[in-house]
Amino acid sequence: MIKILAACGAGINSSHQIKSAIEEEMKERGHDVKVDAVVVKDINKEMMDQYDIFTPISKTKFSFEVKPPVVEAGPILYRIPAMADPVFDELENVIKKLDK
Amino acid sequence: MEALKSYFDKELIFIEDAKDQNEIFNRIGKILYEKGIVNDKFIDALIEREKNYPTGLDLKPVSVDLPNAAIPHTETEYCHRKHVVFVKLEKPVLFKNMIAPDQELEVTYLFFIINNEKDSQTNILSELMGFLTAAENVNKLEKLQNKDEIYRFLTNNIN
Repeated sequence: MIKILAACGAGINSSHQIKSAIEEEMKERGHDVKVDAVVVKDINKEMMDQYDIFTPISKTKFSFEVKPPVVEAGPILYRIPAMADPVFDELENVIKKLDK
Repeated sequence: MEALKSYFDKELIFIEDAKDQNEIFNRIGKILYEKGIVNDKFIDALIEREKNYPTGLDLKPVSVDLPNAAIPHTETEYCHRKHVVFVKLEKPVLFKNMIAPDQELEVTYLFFIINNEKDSQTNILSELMGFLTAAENVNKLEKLQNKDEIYRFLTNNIN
């Protein structure tokens, strides 16, 4: 199973939307993923290192090196295929490369 | 689940002219504070939050000629209630793009999301996105010039 960490700033639960969209779409594409949704400021290196892929809303800076591959997931929030599909495609490519 | 349209309020629909984001944040923040909807730290939190996690939504992917929108908000601790505050700007102000913060967007429509519950079941963002990604909705907003009409349109077209 691929573990994915989705992150946003707090307030309107956008990372939860990213989580459900990714889980649904990847399941449809035949990948076994589990997404955890958190707020950016709660992420530390120890947490980040437990994940296979990191999917923030947009490019996010941390004081530590981000080990997992990063896929920017913000376009998923538009909920229109023209925006979301390229993100899902990129995510799927990363999942295939992980070869788990 | 509470319907998103119940978050709109006739008194919380504005048509404003502001020179920049700071001015409109301060003006709307002051009104919300005076109405007891947010606390005294809301404006600072809103400005700081926008700096760190911008909320501009580029609507070009929906249709190239649409004006852009933004969904400014804070963490729940600054809000006493749940509302969506609508502002139509007479001329756009600059926001950074939520999904590409190094890009600036000219924004005409603001939907301030006021939420006091961390685990609110209403998916405010996805409902709003559903509304904004239908080009005919934004085109219609462009034509409406009075607050009552805007209120009616929003509550008739958002679930």
